[in-house]
Amino acid sequence: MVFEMEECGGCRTCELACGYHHTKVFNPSKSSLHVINRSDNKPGFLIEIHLDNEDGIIGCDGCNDLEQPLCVIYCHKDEVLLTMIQAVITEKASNNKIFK
Amino acid sequence: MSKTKNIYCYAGKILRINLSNGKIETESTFKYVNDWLGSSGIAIKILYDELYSWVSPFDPANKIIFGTGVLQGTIAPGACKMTVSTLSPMTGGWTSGASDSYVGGHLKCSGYDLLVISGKAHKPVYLYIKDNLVEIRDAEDLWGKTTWDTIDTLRNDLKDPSLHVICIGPAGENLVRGACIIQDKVRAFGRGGSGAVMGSKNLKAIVANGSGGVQVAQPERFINNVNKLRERILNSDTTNKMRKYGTYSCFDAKQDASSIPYKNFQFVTIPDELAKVIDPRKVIDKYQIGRSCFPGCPIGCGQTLYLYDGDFSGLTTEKSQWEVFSTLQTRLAVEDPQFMVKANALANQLGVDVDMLGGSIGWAMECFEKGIITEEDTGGMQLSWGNVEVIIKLFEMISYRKGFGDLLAEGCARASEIIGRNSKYYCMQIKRQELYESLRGAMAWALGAVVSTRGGGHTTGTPQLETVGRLDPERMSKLYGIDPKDVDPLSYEGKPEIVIFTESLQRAANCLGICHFNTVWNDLDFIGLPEMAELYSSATGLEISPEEIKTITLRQLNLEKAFNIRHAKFSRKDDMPTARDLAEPIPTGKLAGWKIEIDKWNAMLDKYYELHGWDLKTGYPTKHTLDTLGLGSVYDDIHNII
Repeated sequence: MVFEMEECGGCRTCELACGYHHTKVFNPSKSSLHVINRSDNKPGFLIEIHLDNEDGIIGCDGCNDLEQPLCVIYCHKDEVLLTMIQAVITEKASNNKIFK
Repeated sequence: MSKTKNIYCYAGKILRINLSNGKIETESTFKYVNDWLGSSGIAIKILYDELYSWVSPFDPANKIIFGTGVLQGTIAPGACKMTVSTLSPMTGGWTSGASDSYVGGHLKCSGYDLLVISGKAHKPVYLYIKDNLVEIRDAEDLWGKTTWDTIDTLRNDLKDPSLHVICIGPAGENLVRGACIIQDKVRAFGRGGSGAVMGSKNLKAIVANGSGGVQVAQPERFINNVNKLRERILNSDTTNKMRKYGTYSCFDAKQDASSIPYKNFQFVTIPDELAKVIDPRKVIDKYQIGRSCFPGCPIGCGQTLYLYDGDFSGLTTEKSQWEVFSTLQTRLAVEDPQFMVKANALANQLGVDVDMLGGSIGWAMECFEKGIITEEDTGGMQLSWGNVEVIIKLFEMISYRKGFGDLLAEGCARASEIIGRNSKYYCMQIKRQELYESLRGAMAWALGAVVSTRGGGHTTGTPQLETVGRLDPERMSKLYGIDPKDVDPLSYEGKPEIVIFTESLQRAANCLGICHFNTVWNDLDFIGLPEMAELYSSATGLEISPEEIKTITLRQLNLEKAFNIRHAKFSRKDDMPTARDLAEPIPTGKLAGWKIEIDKWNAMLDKYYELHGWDLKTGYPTKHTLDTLGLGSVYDDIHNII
């Protein structure tokens, strides 16, 4: 899923935190979410969040072992990012239901 | 520091590329880590050991070394800095600059702590680094492009809109002595002319895109350290102010401290009427459309601006920081408040250091005012204060070395040597590097900027707190080990101690990759040497104490001094303020009438040398000092040269 996040400053600390959550290594390439530069000159960045494992990227699990997702803890705009993670988890749950 | 079997957080390898013969090799980083702290610390060791005294900055034998911060690639607060170190075309000695850099993070994720580039490619090239794939690629199509066009072209060609790139612009290609290196359009490895060294090697750009990661030795201890520090930084008033206006939050304090150059430092405050018109905070309020910040940083001091009206309408860019405003807008007396935004973007596009531009154009404008430089020299241009059209034209003439710009591209020190006519007095430079720092009225700030081993500058031993209105005599006296009354910026006492502390702090921050604004350089509640020691120990598994960090960084500083003696022959005479700073009292503002007293300056410099264990007459490190720091053979090197 791809979200527009005009409040994002592009620090990509979320990628490091997420990679760490999955692998215990600060590895942004394993992160479930990626911050993508916009090419339309609009403010902010695009946030791509992977639901499932693919091409070495590990799907978002919403950090279900933590009170709050790790990416959200290290985000300047934590409330905005949290709504995206919640949307991803809802979508994932709904996909699983359909699949079943 | 205790040796352990497993070392974490470092990638483990140094990548060496010889552009003359295309040879690509790696070596272990670990042979350096017990004596040096990483990044620019390892870089000076390599430069000192491997550059003969006959090497000149544009010689293929010069090396340019990129170093990733030891903590870069982790979520440590502000750990987003990569450094570049080389033999400087500007000073003729050591230079090193740090920049917020995703390329650094990706270099590390590719497995490399440092990148050492030597030789000269036969034609324009760029480097592509993705893990074990290291390629020297053709860059003929990129040569001649601005940095922004270069980055857009590479992102387009390599089909990745988020690709991280460092590159040079026309200034670097044309060997402008103050050419810089630009990272992702908006951040610069600014000082010393490292962009010209890249240009001399026909190296246009570096792309890194690693797929690995950074592992820390003791995750729980490390994360605890990070979280504690984040909380302190997030809850600070300084952070709140910087989030809103970045470094412009110090505008009023800088005016109070007589620390804003106006008309090339003839004044060090700006007229109140002008201050109202060009207040940079109003520009941010009016044009901000977004934010900009870098990995791990709890502050996030960047803003994205869109100019929707005025002469530069249509420009979108990250706002400049304080230095651009001070070194270009006020130094050149420009009244259009948008100018700082345009000037910053244009300097970034051309790949040229803003301080070099401000220093050389400011010198030329003052010389024009005094009749020393005339229209005959400038090709008919009127170099009048605040003339935006002329200033922007000069940016381009300097970057392409056209007409009068060819002279200014040498920097003000060399330009004044070339034209003579007693123009040297108007050069605001130290060790041939243009100053943006106002030296009068803040003595630790002045001492740090003047003795800086990379020439005029405030990132190698210059305490910011003195000029931004955040003095806390009680806490600062404890931090620096001085009497509380000597925290007073006008006192000459206690200043050597402040500078020596800051020399260690800033070197450690650069080596670890931590932005200075996340350290006690910016706010006494932020990261100090004990916190750096904790972060480093928990991240690498190499236990280190604050005292050991001090020793290692002093070792580094002494080697920078030795490198400068070998290549630039800098001595005590080069640790003196500019002629103007010694001759003229502060003319306006709250400190009007205050003047540097040369006898007191010399006594302060004596004390600084004495505390360092350097010879009072020459400023050179003594044998005893070098022996103590484990640099015994360096003494023989120095004395073989002199």
